[in-house]
Amino acid sequence: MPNLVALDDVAKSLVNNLRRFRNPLGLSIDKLTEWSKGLSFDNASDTYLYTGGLYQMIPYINSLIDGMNRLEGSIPGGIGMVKLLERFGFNVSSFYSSVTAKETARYNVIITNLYSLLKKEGINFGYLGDEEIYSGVILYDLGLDDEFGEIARQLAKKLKEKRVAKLITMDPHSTFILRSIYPKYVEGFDVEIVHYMELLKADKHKRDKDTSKIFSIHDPCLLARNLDLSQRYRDFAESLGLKIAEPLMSKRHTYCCGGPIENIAPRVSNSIAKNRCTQLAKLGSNALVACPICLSNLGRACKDRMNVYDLLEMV
Amino acid sequence: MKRSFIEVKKAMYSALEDTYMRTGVGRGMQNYAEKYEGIFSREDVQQLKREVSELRRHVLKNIEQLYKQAIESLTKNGVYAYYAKTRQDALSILDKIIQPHELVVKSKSLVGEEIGVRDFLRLRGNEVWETDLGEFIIQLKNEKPAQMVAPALHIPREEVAALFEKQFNKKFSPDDLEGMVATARNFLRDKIARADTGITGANAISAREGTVVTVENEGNIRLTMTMPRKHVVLSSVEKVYPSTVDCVKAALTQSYFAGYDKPTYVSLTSTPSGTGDIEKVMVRPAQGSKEMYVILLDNGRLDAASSFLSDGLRCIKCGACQLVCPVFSVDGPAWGGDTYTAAIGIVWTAIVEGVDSAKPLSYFCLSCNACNEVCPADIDISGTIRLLKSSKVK
Ligand code: SF4
Repeated sequence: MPNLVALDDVAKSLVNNLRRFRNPLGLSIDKLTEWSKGLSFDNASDTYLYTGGLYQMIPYINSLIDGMNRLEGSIPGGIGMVKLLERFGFNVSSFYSSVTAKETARYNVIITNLYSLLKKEGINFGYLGDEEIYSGVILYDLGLDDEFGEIARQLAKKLKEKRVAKLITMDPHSTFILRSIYPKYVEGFDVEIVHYMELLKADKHKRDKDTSKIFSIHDPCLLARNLDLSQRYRDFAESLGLKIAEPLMSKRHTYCCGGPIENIAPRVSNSIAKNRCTQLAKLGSNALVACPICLSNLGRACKDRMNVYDLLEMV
Repeated sequence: MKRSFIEVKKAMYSALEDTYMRTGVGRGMQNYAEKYEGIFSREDVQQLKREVSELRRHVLKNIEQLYKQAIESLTKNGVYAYYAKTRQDALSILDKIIQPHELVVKSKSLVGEEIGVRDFLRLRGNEVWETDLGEFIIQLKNEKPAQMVAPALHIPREEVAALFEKQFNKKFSPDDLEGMVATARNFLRDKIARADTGITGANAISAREGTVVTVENEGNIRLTMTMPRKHVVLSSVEKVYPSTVDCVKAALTQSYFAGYDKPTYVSLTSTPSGTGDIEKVMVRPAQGSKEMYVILLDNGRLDAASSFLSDGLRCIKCGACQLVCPVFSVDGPAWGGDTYTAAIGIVWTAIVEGVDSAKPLSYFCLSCNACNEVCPADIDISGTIRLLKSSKVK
């Protein structure tokens, strides 16, 4: 008999992990900072790169959702899962059995690519390293306002301590929450939040056009509707030499990848992602995204039909 | 109906396997996606949207005063007008207007679904027929509407053919849409011609003039309101606008955002039918109804007007937000309450059934804001759903 995971179990586990490990998945800090090994940062700068941890979490999210799907009977193989839960209770971190070094490397490269782009434009920036705190966006999305406020104040305090005036962000979720929601929860929060697409100059990274591959472009919801970056996203892709094609429902009318409810109802989330794959796959066998949630969710759902790449993988 | 999070999740998981529903909803949404940008980007539509979203803010602020004024104006027009605080109150009023032996025809009305009017009348002995084709199909299947404007969106042609075969005892080819529509038309026309009472909804009602405005494409509303002796309008308190011109603007907007490039019929009805053609002496009825009744349902709305749900009351029920909702696209009406489904339907469920019924549904919202992007009333729909998640109700 499949066990549908209860809301409270997910919520409690995320909150506990955040309190203990400063990230909702309960990963050890070195997994989040691994990408920065050997790179230099100017921590005296008032500008910092904020990873938010989402790209680093992708392989673990994938593993977690795979586990939840087994547990809920969406895919076979849940018996062991049930036994594990009976013994230890529900904790999202019991699910990361299958994460390989190759996978983590893929997502770490995305961050180092951004690092190189920023350097190439001569931008000076610091990085909080093992002091970086997750933004709390998942708590906000679950309506856990008190717990979210707690995290927001912690991160704000940390930024103040380091005299950070400006944060360079790399995913739409952290960007939106820091820019538009933090000021409502943290009094006097005035750190300037800049998404890399707003900061970098697309034409400085020009490459020859490779017309052999067509990318169906998928607009991440928040990037298009809340940050209004659809055009810059395209400009970037074009200057990187990518040939893009527009699916049904694009730009401000984009169709969600389903990711935001992957931990609430993975089966529903996956059906939504599959729908989106059908729309994207009409245009070819490669899809382009610019968000870790889309990359993870579409990546899993489309894997039989197409390859899904993040814009930052294409530089 | 209050369900737990797990019960909702179970229902939503099993809906994913409902091939008929997925086909119907998928086709409907695809058709909508292909045309709505063309309509929304029109300058006249944009202008109307700006005006109507302002109007809706005004209506919400003055909701009590407006509906009271409408009742006065309607009464002056010779219309029997009532305020019904609860579902039960509305049914008791109907109980007095409609006799148990009467034949009743009805056009689509979400307020009617909210109070369960069809079942109520049937159980007391009335023969009742839905005259809107989608709602007629829903009636044959005995289900709740899937979507605000297209109630049978989740029922693809193949299933309609099967339902018709059962009702009319003859075979229909799923691709013979004309044949199915003609059969329903003939059947319903006969019922309308013989009906004692016609129930309709209203898109808007004016406070100053006491005029009821409806918009439609089928023509069934006009027949339903004019052919029977009695015309009953089932509407609700948040649908009252200051003037008739405001009402027409709202009705047009509703039609455009539902995906129609222009409405076929807009009707304005202010009084029962009459003629003064012989010596200027008013005689009722002429060709239309002899008596007209309007019931304005509250059912939680006035309370919601001063709560965190208030923005939801600005909704004009165009259904656009549902037709772009990814969760709706895979789960259809399974994501919803007893009457209202998906997107703003989750907020409506909170308003009319209570926050405790809607809260377990709210967690399935992606916060993707596709709904906000299309809403003509400029409602932060996903933001309001998020407030449901964070509400302290158990
Ligand atoms: S919330 Fe907006 S988009 Fe949705 S039905 Fe109401 S008016 Fe239409």
